[in-house]
Amino acid sequence: MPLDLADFSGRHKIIVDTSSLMADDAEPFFKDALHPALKQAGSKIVVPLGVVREVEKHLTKGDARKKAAARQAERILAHLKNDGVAEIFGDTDDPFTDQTILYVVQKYRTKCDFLVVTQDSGLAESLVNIKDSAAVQSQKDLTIVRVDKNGIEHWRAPTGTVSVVPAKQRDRSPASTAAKPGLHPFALKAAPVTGRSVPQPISTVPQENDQVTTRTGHSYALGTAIAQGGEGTIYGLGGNRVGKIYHAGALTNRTLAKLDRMLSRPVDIAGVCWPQEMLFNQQGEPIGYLMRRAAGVPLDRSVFKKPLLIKHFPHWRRTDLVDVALSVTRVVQALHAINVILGDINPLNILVTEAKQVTFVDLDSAQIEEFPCPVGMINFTRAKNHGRDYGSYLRCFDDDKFALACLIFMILMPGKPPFSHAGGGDPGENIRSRSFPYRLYDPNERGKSSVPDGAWRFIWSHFSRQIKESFCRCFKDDQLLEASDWIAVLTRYRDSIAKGFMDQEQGNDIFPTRFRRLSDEEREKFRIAKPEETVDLTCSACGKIYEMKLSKLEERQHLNLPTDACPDCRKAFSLLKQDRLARGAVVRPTRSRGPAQQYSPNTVPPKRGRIIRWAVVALLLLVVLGRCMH
Amino acid sequence: MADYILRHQELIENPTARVPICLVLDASASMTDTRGHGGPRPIDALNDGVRGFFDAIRADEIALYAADVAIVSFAGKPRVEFEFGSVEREPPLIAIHDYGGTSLGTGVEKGIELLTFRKNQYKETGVDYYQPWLVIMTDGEPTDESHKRVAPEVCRLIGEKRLTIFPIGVGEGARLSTLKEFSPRRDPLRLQGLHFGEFFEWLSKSVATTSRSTPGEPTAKLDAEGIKGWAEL
Repeated sequence: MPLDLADFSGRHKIIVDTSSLMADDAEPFFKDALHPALKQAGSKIVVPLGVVREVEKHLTKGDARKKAAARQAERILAHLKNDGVAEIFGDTDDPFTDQTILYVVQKYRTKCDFLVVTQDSGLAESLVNIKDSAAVQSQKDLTIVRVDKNGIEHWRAPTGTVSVVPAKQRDRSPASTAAKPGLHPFALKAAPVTGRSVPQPISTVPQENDQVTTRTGHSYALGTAIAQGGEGTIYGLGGNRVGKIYHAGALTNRTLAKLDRMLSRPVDIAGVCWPQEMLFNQQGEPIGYLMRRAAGVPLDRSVFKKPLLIKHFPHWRRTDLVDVALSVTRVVQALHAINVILGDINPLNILVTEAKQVTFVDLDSAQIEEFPCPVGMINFTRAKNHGRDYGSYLRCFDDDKFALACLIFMILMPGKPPFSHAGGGDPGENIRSRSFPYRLYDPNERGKSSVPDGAWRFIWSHFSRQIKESFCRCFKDDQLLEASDWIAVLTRYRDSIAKGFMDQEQGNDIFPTRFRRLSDEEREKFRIAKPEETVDLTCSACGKIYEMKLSKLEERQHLNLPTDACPDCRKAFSLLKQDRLARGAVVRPTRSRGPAQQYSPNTVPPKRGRIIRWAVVALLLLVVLGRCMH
Repeated sequence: MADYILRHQELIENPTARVPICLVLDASASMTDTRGHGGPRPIDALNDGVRGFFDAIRADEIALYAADVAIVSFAGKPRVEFEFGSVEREPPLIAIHDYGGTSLGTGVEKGIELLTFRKNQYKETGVDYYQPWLVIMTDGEPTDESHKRVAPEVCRLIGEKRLTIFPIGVGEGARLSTLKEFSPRRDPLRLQGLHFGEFFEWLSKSVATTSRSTPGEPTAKLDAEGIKGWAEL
């Protein structure tokens, strides 16, 4: 049920953020609902100057979609301002609108009632934290809402009120993962649960064939064990139901309280194995829970390992990977919409099928209200949280958005982490040093590239400009995209590949073998000069076809450098040489230019021997020259 | 050479963060001594253990793509039995060396050398890796002083958290005090009988944990419960 504007238009200071003015369903709300309400109450909305500046920026700089949204925001602002129901405040020095809004709310929190309208989950969360902070005992109201097609609704459901799940569904795909309407979002809390977490005493842990019962008295026999983890074992219960039975000592009072909280909402999202009912042993003690059975293979055992990707999904193309990324993003979006922060977003907890259905499992680790997510993987953790015990703090939406960006990257670049780079090493250290090695242009263009060896540079070059920009924003500038933004970007990328707008030959390949080639029209459109002519060569070491610029080939031939091995194999030989040199032997690749050359490790005599050999060659030359002179 | 190119392809095509593990194994003549028990020769039990290690890692896809294994054997001199790479290759059959003696130090030195170059390869090609593990197994006393030269370097790497070491004594004759010189933090463990299989199974499980969700940053931790299966505590 949308909120009644009459409750706010009188007393409250109403602050509006850029994101809401640019939201899909915003125009009817601001013009047809808010405007008359303000008129009637004789009040005004407050628009930070930063918002006006942001809208102006998007009008000139954004992509087509952003520009259209910015034009809408401009229309709304003009409409409200002309009728005297909008007031612009602030000065030009405010660099960040978010900060300004937070500052104002914090400062006047005890003096005025506030209604903040924003679509930005990060800002909303910070505001909720201000509201929850125990330090300020305010009699004044602070309500944080977002715009949707029915009006406005809470980011956080205050106790006692009923609100609908925000249907921020820009994307209405057939396999919609949106939560059921009428579902109560979880609260966002400022501090994690305190108190000791102690194991529940359990008399017997049920095994295969043992009976377990639900709270309503329904009885199941545990079938065969499907999977075993650190916390418990998953058993089949017949049909598409499975049960997670905790190991002895693994179920604590805290886990139990968290499960109770999770079970209080019938979350039914396609692609999410949400706990549905508690399970009890014969003594009536809680020992686990019932959930839907998930189909598929974990991403880490399929998409992320090339041989397993080919084994499980032999017919997949690049568009299929984009579909998987889209499905994953939709699930995260649906969970965020009810304030569930996943925390441990990782490729072992996401199952995928040939039909590209994804299912998130291990939901009991997710962060629910004051219960933190107690585990995580360093590869998907923001640098600022490294070294912290995952169970000791509450994560924010941005933490999930970072993990989501990493996951999307690793789906599109099958298995390669975004911060993996030449010169790096330790996965945690790579994230802390923020060394995202990929560039917006051809990685070979400027300076020394630290893009890892292998097909990764080719895959990157085949990404659409918008995909590259989105990754650079997330990993270079720390501007994390919302799930809804990713859905728009990925959908467009998918369409571009499907319509053949990308590379004609390799645009839809999962592992392209060369850089992207632009068509003549594209080059004309983007005013890019015709690239140098290249030749396709066959590597005599690994047998792969590789391309080399003609000028480079001629240069190498002129310098008498080997031209018969691909760059990866040349690197392999140079590494072997370093190795052998240090181990006391020397490797020298043969230097001829015939088609069937092979590199072979020749153990040549040490330095002294080589000098003697050169001396002999020089002497022979002198003799020959001498003869010619005569 | 073809084998080297294949290993290099595997190195750069597999995006998984690697756990480099170097096994430094005693293959001196004493490893044939059944000590009057009439049971299997220690070298045979060791070879069975290594094969079991490979099998256990291959059985878990997560461990398979993370494990990067090299094997050095030593007696009077070190010998590289298995160059760094995937355990999809067949495990080597370690034979007793012709050279006499037990030069523990030069064996460990060779292991460190292989690890150093592997790390260089990871860095040069942009492959993620965790800090390496070094497993040392010996059944006797060293016959030279090479360990005195090598141990400080190993201790330095451990001190800088750039190496984790698993020093294991095999049988009653193993001198744990020499192994201790390589391990400033934790005491060497003595293998129960010839329970190589149990040890290697425990090691393969530890590999997979680096790519699982953990309560904090992943580190090579000794799982005390698991150790009971193979060590005398």
